Amino acid sequence: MAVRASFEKNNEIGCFAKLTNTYCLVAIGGSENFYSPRLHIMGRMVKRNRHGLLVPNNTTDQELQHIRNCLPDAVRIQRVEERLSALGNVIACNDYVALVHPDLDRETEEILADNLKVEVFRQTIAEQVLVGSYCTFSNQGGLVHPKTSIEDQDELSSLLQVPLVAGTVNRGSEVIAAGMVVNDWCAFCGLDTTSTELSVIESVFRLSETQPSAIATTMRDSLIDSRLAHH
Amino acid sequence: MSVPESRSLFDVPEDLLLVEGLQEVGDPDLQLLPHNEAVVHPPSDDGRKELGPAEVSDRMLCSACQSPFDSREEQIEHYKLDWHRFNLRQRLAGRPPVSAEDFETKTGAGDVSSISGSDSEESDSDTADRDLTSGRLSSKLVLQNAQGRYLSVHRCVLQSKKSGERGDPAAALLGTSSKSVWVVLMTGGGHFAGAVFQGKEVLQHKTFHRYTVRAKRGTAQGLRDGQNRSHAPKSAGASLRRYNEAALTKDIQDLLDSWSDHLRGASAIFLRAPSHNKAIFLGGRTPPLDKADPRVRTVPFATRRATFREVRRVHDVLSTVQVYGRDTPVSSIVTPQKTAWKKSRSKSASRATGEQENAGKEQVESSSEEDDDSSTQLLVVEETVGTLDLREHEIHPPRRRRKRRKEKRLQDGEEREGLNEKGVADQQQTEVETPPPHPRRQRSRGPSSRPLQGEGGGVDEQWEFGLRDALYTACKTGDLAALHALLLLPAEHGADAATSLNRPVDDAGFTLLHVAAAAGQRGAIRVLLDAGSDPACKDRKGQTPYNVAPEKDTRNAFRKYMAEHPDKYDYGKAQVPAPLTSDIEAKKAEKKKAQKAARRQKEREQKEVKRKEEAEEEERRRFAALSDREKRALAAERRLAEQKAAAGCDISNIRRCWQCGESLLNKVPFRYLDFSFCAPRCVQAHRKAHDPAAGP
Repeated sequence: MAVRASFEKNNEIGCFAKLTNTYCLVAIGGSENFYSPRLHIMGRMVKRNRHGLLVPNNTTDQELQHIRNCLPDAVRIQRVEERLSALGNVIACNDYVALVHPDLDRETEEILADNLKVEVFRQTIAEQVLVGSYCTFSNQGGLVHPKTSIEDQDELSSLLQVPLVAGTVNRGSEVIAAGMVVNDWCAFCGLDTTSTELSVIESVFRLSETQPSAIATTMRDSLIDSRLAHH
Repeated sequence: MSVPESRSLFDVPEDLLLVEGLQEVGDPDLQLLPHNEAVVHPPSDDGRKELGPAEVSDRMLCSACQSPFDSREEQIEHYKLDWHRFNLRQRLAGRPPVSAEDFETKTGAGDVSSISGSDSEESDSDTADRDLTSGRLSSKLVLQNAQGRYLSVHRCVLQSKKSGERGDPAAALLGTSSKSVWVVLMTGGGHFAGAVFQGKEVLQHKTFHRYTVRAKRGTAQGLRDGQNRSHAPKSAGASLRRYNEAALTKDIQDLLDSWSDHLRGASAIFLRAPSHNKAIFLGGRTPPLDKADPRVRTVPFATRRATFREVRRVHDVLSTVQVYGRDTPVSSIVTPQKTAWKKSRSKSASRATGEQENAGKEQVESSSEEDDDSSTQLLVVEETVGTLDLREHEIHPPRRRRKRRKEKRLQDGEEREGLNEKGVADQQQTEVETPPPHPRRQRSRGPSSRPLQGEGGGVDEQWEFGLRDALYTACKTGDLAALHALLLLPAEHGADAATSLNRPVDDAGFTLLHVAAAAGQRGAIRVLLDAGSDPACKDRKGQTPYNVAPEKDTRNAFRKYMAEHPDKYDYGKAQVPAPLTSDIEAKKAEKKKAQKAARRQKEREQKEVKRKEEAEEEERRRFAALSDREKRALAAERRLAEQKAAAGCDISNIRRCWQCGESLLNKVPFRYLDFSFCAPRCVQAHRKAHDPAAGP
């Protein structure tokens, strides 16, 4: 299922939220009592999958503690000393593979491989180094920058082992990761997303195939895990 | 996968059976896995369906490098290569891709800066470490002997990546023996640890620590300065760290100078230094190590903080050979670097317990940054250094220092007159030569207050300390005779009493004057002030001696002194409010007396008023208790009195006893007929006289 949503009237929901199969992080909104400017654009600053969460080194201890308190125990949280501190913009990953900025530190690469349990590939997307911004992929499929050539799509697809489609969100925005968040069962796109874009997203992420029976099978572990984590 | 047998590298060459027919095993990915069997398998998700509108492509080609792959592993490895990264940048810049061979020659020529995207030293070393035709080399080297058993050893131990052609690793392995000398040098975060090993034996080792890393924020001061030269911090801490960085470099270079024999004779020098620390070893005008020296190798795995224990661990890990059975698949032995790294880590953890027994020895021998630098700088350093992470340096050094001091004392024992004739260099001697009053105290307080005395130089610390301790005791107890005696002691060993006067003597930052003031020893305060103790010295809390005095008399001691010596000290700074002379004191006493008298007078008046009120109350009660007749009588009397007062005659003549003339005012008269009498006696007398018939 793909749904349109906005964060405080902003279509770039990917900047403010992170979604995985087991948890979702949402930035603290300005309307709430507590306001933290750094956590606000959390979506651009953190990188995560179901195994772990990487936060940049300018995360405060308080923020780290807060995140740690909120997430399931199984999720490893790691602070990385990385020059490219907007980790969300330079890393794109699912539960198995990660695409990273060509200039990412080797140490960060190691941490990424160890904590998120992914294979790390240095690559560009449509001649853009900000791979984390210009593509989004789940374990089922992925959406890349609209100007990605067919050859590059093939190469990336073989690299990531998921089917890829070039596309846009938010009525033609090429900053795909900023415009949507997705896990294996559900996608949320900005309010401006057209129905054509939605249908592309639903098909490539295989969201329409999700049957109610999946709740009892593939989604069961995640759901029960998260329930336990919350109570 | 079978658990390998771990052997020491130095024992292996002697085991002839093991090393017989030793031969290097090539890249297992290329040789052992038949290409046509290489299957592309999805990372690990079994539940994934391979259906849908879009298919997973099987295009095994890196378009940036124009290099095809045969297997998924090869593909994965390729994307980690610097060659790939370089080509990505080429493509972004619109330039054609560079072939692997071209890249190799490019990097071989030292043109590696173009690909640096990472600050870590690994990337630099990796570029040179890579054999591009067969992909990235594992950090481990696998050898196979005639029996078909596999030996896995760290590549850097047997081969240098600097020499163009790699030597035969098997020959290199056989060449190592328990006589070969290795040097391991590690530095980082202001720590340095180095050791010279011969076989498994430690020949020499040394550790240093300097405060160079910015507290809490992290990163060395030099790095911070390098980021923005125009706005380098000017704080005291920053300059301290800058100084310490320079001093650390000098320490290390001096040490390596003294080890030059070992360095020349070493068969391998293993270096672990974060990029900007490399200059310590390889930079400068006369670098201790030659950059091009093939013996200089970097440690190929992650290490912890540079300590002697860590150096030993590194040596252990490097000198370990893992022996696998013949039926072990080679691909499981040669693992990507990442996994090898983990393995060595966990091994070291298990070994750590074994190292515990050596720890004591290690720490006694390792000396911290005890040295001879300028005293003021050093004083601050040692205070700052007292954090948890430096504990390893702080646990044992006192023993070492004492030993050193003992040696020193032996040497100049003769020069010291009076107190040190015996010249026996043992602990008791140390105590005997401290000034006599409280030797026991000195022993107990010794180690704790040591960090406060930063003076290394020519001052005999023990002597100074004993003196200070005696002074402390005298001030605390108010022992004026002892205090005088101590203050008059000649300035021996560069530490006379006068130098200790204005220096803090305990952890609270108390000077002797504070001590005396807090103990309320007025005599001691006066003596100390006379001797030159500055009352403006503040303790840690910023309190002056005047402030710590417990009661007024003690405070007055300061004020009196101020009156007598108005210009001797800065009393404003000492927070002594005003001088106190005897004149002022007498005036004050007088004033007090007057106040007292006034108060007494007032009290007396109050008492009087109270007494009156009580009398009135009594009267009121009595009147209320009177009978009506009496009340009427009283009223008549009052009326009469008023009339009489108006007429101007004496009230007292109005009513008198008819018989004796006694005034009846305020009395209830005895009446018979018209006569009134004061008492029954008068009534009887009157009746007898006027009416004889009435008598008996």
